[in-house]
Amino acid sequence: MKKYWKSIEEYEDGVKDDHAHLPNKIQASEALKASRRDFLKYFGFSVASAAVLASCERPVKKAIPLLIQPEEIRPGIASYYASTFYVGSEAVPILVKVRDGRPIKIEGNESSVMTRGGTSAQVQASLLGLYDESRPKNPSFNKEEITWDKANADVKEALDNLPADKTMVLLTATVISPSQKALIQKLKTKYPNLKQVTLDPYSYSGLREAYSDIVGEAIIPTFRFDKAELIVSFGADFLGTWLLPTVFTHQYVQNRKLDNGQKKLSKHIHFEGFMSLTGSNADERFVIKPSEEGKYVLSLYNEVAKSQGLPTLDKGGFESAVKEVAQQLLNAKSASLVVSGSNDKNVQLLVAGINTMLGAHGSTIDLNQDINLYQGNDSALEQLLQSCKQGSVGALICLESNPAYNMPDAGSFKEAIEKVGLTVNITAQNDETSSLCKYVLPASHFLESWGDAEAVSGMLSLTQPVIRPIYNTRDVNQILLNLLGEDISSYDYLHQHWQKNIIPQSTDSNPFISAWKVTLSAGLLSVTMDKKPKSILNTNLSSAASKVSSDKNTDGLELIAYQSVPVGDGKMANNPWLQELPDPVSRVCWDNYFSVSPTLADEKGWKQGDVISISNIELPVFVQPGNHHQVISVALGYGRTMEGPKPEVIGKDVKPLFVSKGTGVKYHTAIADIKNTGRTYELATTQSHHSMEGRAIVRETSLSEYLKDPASGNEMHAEIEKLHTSLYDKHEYKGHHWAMFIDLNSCTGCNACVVACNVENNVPVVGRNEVRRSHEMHWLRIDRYYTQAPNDPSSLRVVRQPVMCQHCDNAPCENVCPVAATTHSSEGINQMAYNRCIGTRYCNNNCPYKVRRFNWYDYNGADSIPYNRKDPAGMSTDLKRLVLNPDVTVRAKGVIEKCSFCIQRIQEKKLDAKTAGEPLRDGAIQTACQQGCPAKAITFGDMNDEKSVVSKMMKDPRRYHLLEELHTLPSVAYLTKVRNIEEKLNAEPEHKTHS
Amino acid sequence: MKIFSCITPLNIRFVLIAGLLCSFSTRAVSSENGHAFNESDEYNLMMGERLFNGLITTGDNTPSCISCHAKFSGDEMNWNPEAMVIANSVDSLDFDEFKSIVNSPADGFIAKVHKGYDLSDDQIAQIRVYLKTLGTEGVGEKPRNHPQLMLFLVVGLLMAAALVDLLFTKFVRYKMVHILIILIGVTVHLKMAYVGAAGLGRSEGYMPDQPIKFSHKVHAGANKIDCMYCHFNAEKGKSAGIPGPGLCMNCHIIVREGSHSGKSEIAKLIKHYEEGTDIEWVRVHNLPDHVFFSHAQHVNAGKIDCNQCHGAVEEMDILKQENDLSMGWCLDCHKNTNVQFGNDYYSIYDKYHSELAQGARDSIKAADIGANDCMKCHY
Repeated sequence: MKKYWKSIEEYEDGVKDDHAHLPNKIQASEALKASRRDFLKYFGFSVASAAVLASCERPVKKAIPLLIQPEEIRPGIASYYASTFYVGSEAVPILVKVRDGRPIKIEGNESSVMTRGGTSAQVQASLLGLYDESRPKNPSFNKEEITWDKANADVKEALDNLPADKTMVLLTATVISPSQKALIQKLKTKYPNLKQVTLDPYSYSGLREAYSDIVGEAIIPTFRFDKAELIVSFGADFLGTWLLPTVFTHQYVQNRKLDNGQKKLSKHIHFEGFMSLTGSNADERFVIKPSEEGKYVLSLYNEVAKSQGLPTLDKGGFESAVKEVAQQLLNAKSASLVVSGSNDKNVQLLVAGINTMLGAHGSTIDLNQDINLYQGNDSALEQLLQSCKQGSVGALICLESNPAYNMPDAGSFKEAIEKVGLTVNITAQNDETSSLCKYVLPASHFLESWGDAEAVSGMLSLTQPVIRPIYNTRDVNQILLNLLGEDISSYDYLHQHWQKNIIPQSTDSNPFISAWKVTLSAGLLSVTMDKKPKSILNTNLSSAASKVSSDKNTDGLELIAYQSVPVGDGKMANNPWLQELPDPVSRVCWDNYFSVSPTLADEKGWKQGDVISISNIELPVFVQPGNHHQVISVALGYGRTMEGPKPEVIGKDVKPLFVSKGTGVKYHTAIADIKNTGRTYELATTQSHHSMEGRAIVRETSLSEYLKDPASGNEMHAEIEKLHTSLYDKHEYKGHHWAMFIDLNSCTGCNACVVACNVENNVPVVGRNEVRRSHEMHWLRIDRYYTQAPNDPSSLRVVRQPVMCQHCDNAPCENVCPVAATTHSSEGINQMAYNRCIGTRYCNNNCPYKVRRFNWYDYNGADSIPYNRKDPAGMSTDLKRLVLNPDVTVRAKGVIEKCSFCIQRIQEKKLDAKTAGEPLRDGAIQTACQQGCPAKAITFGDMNDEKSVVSKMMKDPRRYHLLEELHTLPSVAYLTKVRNIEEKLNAEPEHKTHS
Repeated sequence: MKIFSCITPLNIRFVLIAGLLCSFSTRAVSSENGHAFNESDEYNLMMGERLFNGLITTGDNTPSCISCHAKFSGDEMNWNPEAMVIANSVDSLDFDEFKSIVNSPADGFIAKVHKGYDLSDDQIAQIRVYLKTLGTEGVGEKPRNHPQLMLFLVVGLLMAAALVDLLFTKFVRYKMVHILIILIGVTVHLKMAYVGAAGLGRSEGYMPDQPIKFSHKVHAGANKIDCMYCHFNAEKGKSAGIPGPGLCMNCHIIVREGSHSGKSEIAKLIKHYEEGTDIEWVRVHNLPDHVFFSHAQHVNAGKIDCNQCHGAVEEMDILKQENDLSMGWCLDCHKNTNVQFGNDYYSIYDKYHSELAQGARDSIKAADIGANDCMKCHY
């Protein structure tokens, strides 16, 4: 019998009393806070307020129309503006929803061929950065606010008067904006001793250097996961954080879907030292130490070369282990793709060598289209540090680069910057560098800025402001124009730049509407550039191979630094939506931690939450199945000390552990110094909550079994269907009957849907302590289950399942509500009327899916009673409340809430159809989770419409419902997960029948 | 209500005059050791107040100021500028300008109604002093009467008296009288409590004062302007849309004088338009925040006439909330209103279409297609 489990405790001890982890003491002491005096106070208050209510008239409300009503702005009707998300990591074309003048939601731009409307959790959450009170509000000099005129004049004067023997350095984040590049070029012309250095929060220097050796240009080529039938990844978390995860997820799932009569799946083999999001989606997973990664690549190179009769290189030592992988690569030939997340140039050279042998260059890798992200170079940064220390740098202008946090060696940067005469920080955040710089020039948020982006060469997109700057900020182009002394607005500059340089390259032409207007409306433009096609110049890899093979193996423990999917490089670390988003692998939020394998934890005697210290950085232990037993992994991007409205440092910055001299940044290191502190720390984890007690909630099969019988792994569905009988009358749906399908094969667990749901439905942030008490409010969660034994990391498999309200036809919640606050609609929706709910939580108790959420406090400022308020994340301030969706009620304390199938969107689209006098088009309604999903794993539609996609999916033999044996008849259905493996997966999961 | 109707302005005037006479005598004495009281500011203020309120006549056949320039608004539209409006503008006028406006206004509506006023310079100055004071001190709170509350208390007193008489004093011999009084009293109290509780948070009949005396009767009634001309969003959005000054100026760029209000009200609009300041209209129809109502659904898809919910707006000078806008009112209407079933959107309702064709039904009501589901309005 195959066993599914969610946590180590559950695996070992079986399912325990779920209440055991509840900290009753805290609850009791919290409850005691309300003293007898408080009780009397609030009792008196309520009596008085009832009296006042009864005697007074309602407050007078004003209705103030716009002075001059612009034609395209209608009260209560949203407008969408095309723009681009880019804050230093990936770039995603977006549409911004603006209601009555304020941006309230970000969607993906469906016309983008790269993403097709997909987003990531970070893209969804970036909206909140606009309403961040901690942003710098005015230009400042030595922390005193000054005017823009003075700031511009002073900085310009200082630059003009800089001695000729001193260099000035413009330290930027990677600039992917063509217009901004042109401005920097102008600055270089004006100041010949100006040097631009690029700093990335996460270095891809090794990859660029490798391609510089191979094709003569330091490029990152585009990878085409949609063209690959076999993907071999060495630690590249391409579904989570590597390069363009949203684009790659979209490409990856093209070959992972079976819902359209497809009979083929791509195969994904993953080598890594810890459990990453991408690794957890792989068909085969090799767990290796990071110090051996290069040797595995080398061994694979040798095996592939040997089979093709090509000369082999130095021995890697793992040839036998990768023999089978090499064979599969040779079978797939040019339809294979090998990628590596290593920042070691030599490893990347070998990977490129394998791809060249297989013919992947030109097929799954396009050398002629570059990814322009991450242009940083590690050695240039080290040179910069040196020259700062020597005092040869006269001026340092930091442009959105935040070196005080992002520099690999931030400690020595802080020393170095003291030797620089003029320091300017151009930033949209109140970041760590601001406190070290003389001048701080506040840049606008990207939703307030004019700009453009070219993340992949030839694929341009525009950034346009959707609101006037909230504070006295200017967009980056405007700041650079000011420094150049040019008297032109950033819009005019951008327009002119595009008219002159970009639009003429485009092939699209419309004689009636200007290309500029078309582009501004669509947000996107693809251009063809006359560039010399690149080809592989150098294939001599012997020196790379000898370097890799001579690398010493580390015997002891190793530490891996990775970027977590929610927080990433830490740029948006002060975003409560992202902090509260559980990591897709560990399901922990609000902290980083040292992940160790169960074997290592046993060996060292660590338990979950024991605080250990590695080189004086103290973090709690998290027991993570799937890690190599000699590997500890830890997330970057935490420990940011930027000031916020409520200054709190979340987690610890672990970058100091990875400082290495002269070899570029390596994100793994040997652990020299490890100590127990004897203290414990409770991590806020959503992992052991919502246990479904070993029932057949996730069903999976292998591709070979699926091809024999499409219903394999789902045999029990037919059995259960036969047994259905009910005491209740069957609901009759005369019009629509809404249904949602979730394809477990497409879902990668990236969590974009969770944040999309939070933003759309005003889901509150409850903070670390409330999550510890299982009070998280997310309407949509992604359950994660492990299969196989935890002590065998290679065989460990992960399945994920998004769970929201299942909108049962026989809903157990509905018939226990004493006040009929939750009822069934005529369209199959399980309705929740908040204003009727009295908070008995009977429905919550009776829901078998545990998808109902109770408002223990007022988190968003929904009512005016201060004692009800609990706002650990500062989400109820006037400014932050502007992000709330006016189409969804802000729930008050004491009511239950849950997924509504985005009823506001259903109502909107139905009304659109009615006013147009047309039947509702299938696919017109997209729920927030569906729209945000980069993998398009979620489908929503009308089951009563025979032609709809969901009606077709109803007939799919892979269809099953959660706990369908309970005969709740959910409207949400799942499609079984099919793995591309040979072995026969246990078709009969453990199944308890309830009499 | 009737009990209080005896307190008419006439009676108040008697009381006031008596009071004033008393205060006059004391003040006359107190001012002996300074300069003459009839030159003091206090005196001018007092005389100005009396002139304005009509306690001292302003001349033959000339109504007192307050009879047109009321301090408080009533149930009917008062087209003339209120006392407070005049008080606020008096500072910007010098003595001669003010005098000419009162005694001999140049033209228009005001020239007709101010005909015959011939106040002396002293009187003009006194009224000015009063108006200036009014401008800084305000008109105070509108006197209210609570007939319901009074009735409640009177009935309560009656019952208490009946109870006392029943148990102790025993003036009335027939116990039936006591019991009857108490029974009727309890019924009246319960009924009032129920009506009060049910009406809590509802505001049927709400007709607040607006910053500009805009009359729907003039615009929609007399001039027959289509509702959608101003409420431009009613067919497309949730909110019907309130026209901004820009839209008003489409007509008022030419129409600068109203037949009832003269120039004064339209001047306010023009001022807002030219200075770019917001007009803070008072919202009349309010729904609770947890209700999502869409005008487009009702006006456009449902083809419901505006009047059905808003009443005969074209006959209202001051806009009034005609219905209580309660949930019961909504649901009742949904049960009785036919769906525009010819709309192609409803083609999916096969069963209803065949029932209609067979004659098993003659119409489809909104409630039949789920209009009364909770999440049609609450989400």
